[in-house]
Amino acid sequence: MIGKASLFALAKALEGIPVLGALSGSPAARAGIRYGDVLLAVNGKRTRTVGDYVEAKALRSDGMEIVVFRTGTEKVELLTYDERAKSVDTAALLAELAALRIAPGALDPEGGGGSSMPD
Amino acid sequence: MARRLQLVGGMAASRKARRIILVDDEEALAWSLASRLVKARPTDRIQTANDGERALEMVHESGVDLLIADIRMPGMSGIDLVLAVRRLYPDLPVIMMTAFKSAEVARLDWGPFTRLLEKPFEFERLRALVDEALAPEVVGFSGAISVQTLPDVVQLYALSSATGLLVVRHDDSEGHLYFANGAVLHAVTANARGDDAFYEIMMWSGGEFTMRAGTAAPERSVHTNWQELLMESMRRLDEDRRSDEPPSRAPGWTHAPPPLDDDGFDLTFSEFEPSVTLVPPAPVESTQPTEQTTEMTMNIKDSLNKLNSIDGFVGAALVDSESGMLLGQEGGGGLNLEVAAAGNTEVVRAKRKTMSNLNLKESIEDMLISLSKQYHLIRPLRSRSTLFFYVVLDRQRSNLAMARIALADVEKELQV
Repeated sequence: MIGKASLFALAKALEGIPVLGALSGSPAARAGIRYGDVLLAVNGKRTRTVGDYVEAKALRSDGMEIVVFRTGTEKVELLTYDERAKSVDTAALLAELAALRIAPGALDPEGGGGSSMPD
Repeated sequence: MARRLQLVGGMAASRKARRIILVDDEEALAWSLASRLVKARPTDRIQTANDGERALEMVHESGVDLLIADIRMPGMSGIDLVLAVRRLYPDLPVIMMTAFKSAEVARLDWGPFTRLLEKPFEFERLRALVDEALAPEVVGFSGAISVQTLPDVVQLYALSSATGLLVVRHDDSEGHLYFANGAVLHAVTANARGDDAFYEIMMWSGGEFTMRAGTAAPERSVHTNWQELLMESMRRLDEDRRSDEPPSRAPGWTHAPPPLDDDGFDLTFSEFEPSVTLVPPAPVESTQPTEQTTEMTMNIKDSLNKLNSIDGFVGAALVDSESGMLLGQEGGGGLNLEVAAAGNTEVVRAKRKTMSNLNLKESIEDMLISLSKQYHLIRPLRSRSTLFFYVVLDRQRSNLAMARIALADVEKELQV
């Protein structure tokens, strides 16, 4: 598993956005998107920054076509949004995030494990 | 209104005769309405026509003070007639008769001086409207038909049972919508055909359109009915408006005169100045996704940089709950989002439970999780509630109040 620092470095080199994870059950998760991917394009537009992402996402409302970089190849996926995603239970999302450990310390060998406290 | 007319009636003889033109393709109805109007307003001059073209000739021949027209007529529709007549008489009061549910038609912006009369109607209602329009102290209820958006234009043609080709131009793009008796049969753009082409055209935020009446569709690519197509278009437009795009400065819609060939009724358009300007939606929010993207991206970059410069900033991520992706935002320096994991899930569970007990779901501005060494701030973008910022701050070095303000600023800039 690629370390977080390496992931960010890779994303920078590829001029893409590092994917830190996919919410379970979401269109991204169903398409196999996971921690360690680098998002290169959305709806045909290059995504170099989160700003690009927000902008490219707006081009389409029923889903998004994405290009991610993984293990040396580019992968194209079509994510179709779920109807229910329109109303978001923030708290449930938060729980999901915590479970994923948005900062994937546990996944990150360079971070020294999730339970250690930084000083 | 009717009462006022009776009072005015005594003055009628001294008043100049008013010219009323009544157009309905149902001859019997036109005749019966006209004959009753003659009785009701003996001093006025009432003419009938059974199609839009003839009515327009009458207007040219002898002028008009009040036009009463059916919306749905073969050939030139009532709407086209009104558009044409308004070029000569911008303030002309118009009564549109329609057999459609008033809610559908009334939703359109007809301008202040047009009245809608839903069929079937009592003659007294028509009479009251005529009295209102022609009452001496009332200037009349006219004004140009103003159409807010392209979907409104489509609705106008669909409701008027139009047959023909609506050519829409936007920047370098051109789209064709074919109507047959009001139904959308075929849609095509450079990139798409069928429903997708229709939606693409509806998302265009400005330009011009021309109706070529009578042009038949070369093929059929659309099978969805126009109400559904428009509903979906409105939904998409709405979705776009709720997104964080800046207001459009697009020029809005202009009715372009068709070329001087084709059939008769289009020529009536080209005789006049192409002055039907379709105003873009209220400047509050709009749909143009491409015009100012550079500027917007700059804004987002600036705001994210602002976040990075918050004291104690550890890292931030953007969460898209719609796609389910969790995206890292490259911050200044080494990003090391470190969750003090112990008990974190418990904190969230507790918070969730409390919130659901208090029924606080819908008004979350931001959520704060305080850990021993970090603050985690979660803020849904108001403009696009499916996107969230997740910001991690070093508790000892950060000023929580400032961080919240900075985060709110970022969010505000995202919805400019």
